[in-house]
Amino acid sequence: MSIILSAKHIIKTYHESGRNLSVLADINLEISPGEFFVFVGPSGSGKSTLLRIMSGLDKDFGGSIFYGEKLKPSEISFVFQQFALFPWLTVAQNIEFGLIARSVPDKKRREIVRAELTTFGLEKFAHAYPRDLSGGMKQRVGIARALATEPRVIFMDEPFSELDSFTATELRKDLLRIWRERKPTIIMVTHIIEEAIELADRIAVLTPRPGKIEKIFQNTLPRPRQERSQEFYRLEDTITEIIKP
Amino acid sequence: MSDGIMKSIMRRAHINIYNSRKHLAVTLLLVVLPFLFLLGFSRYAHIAAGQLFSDVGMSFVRLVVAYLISVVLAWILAILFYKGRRAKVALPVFDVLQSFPAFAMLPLATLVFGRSNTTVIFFLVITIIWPILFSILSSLKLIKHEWEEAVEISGMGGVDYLKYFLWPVSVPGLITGSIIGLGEGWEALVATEIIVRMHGGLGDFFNRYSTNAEITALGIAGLLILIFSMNKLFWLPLLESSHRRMEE
Repeated sequence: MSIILSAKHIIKTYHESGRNLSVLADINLEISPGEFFVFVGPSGSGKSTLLRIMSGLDKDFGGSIFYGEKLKPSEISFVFQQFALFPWLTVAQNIEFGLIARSVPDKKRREIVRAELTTFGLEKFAHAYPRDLSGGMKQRVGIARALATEPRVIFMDEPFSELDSFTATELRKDLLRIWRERKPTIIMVTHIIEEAIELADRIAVLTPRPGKIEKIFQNTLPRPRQERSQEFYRLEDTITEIIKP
Repeated sequence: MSDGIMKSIMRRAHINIYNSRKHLAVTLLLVVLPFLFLLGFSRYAHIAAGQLFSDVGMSFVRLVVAYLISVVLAWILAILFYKGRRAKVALPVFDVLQSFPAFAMLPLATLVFGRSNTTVIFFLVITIIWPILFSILSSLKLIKHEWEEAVEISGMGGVDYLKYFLWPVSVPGLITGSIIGLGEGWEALVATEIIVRMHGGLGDFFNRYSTNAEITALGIAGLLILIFSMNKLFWLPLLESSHRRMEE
């Protein structure tokens, strides 16, 4: 089986006022290309930290991260919990940002931006600024920006936690559709168990202080997943049982 | 000119600082006002209008040149020293330099550069640069960690990083600092021109008419109208629009 990302013996310790605080303890895992991998865990389980280590944003850690399948850092994207849009740029310019960094020619850039705007139903908002958008729209822009560079791996840090549940449901559907069509590897973090079960191929359950992987579940429920099915509830109960202190 | 054309010009120039045509008209009127005032004033005081305009013009050019140098220097310094270990070393140094009374440098500057434009401009730069520098630094402090992460993931660097990230973030500070800096600048300008006994310029004008209280008072009024209208025309709308741009 080919592997696009593997983590070996990841540890992370914060030094705070003379004390050492262990955030992550010996994380090991391997992720396959095209996989939808979700970390679920309560706050304090170090899941955001782990995501930043795996994406290369946090370089101060112990252990090692390997990229397989000739994955290059420029083929990685990130979707942020609080969108992290640039307020001085329009929606279109925000989506264009990574393309400018990659020196994509002008004409090609415009084509890609137009396509992403259409995919996310943002055509009418191309020239609007982030301040004029609702939370759901902002995260659409955040995801469109992440996808515009055609990444092979997308990291998502609780991308739906700032949104109301209707918007979140809709965006999850959109995300699954795009994932089916473009087949990127998605590595996501959430604290909502239902969300993990709805989306993931595999679910890693993290427990806090220090953050460690308690168990990795293979989620074999058929897609599209029925949130009210017995199997769904059973898996949810099992995971809840592990996380419960 | 129709509203549509006006708006499209402003959009092209990326200066969306006037809300409406009325706003623009009022502002333009405020610029015309000081010129009318100066004209009327020179007639009243029996000074050749040309002489008066050339005095105001000379001072204005000195200030603009000093301002441009200050902005470039302040921005470069801010970008170099706004974070990390460099900031820890540089910020206390800036603070000391800022507190240093600029007028103490004036005799030395006159000795080195003589009674020249260079002296005035040098003096203006060491006066204007600090509020601009500190305002830009405080703008750069507002950079969110997530923005930096988004930039890092995008892989943007070099000139693009300055152009699309650091420059837009520093604009609000640059404008705030400019307003404060230019306010101090006018004061320092006239004072320096008087002390150095420059030939030409507002300082020279006030020197020449120091015995005539009426003309001096009118001159001060003219200066105030000029400063006020520049703020109203240019800086305040710019300030407003730059802050709106950073709203999330």
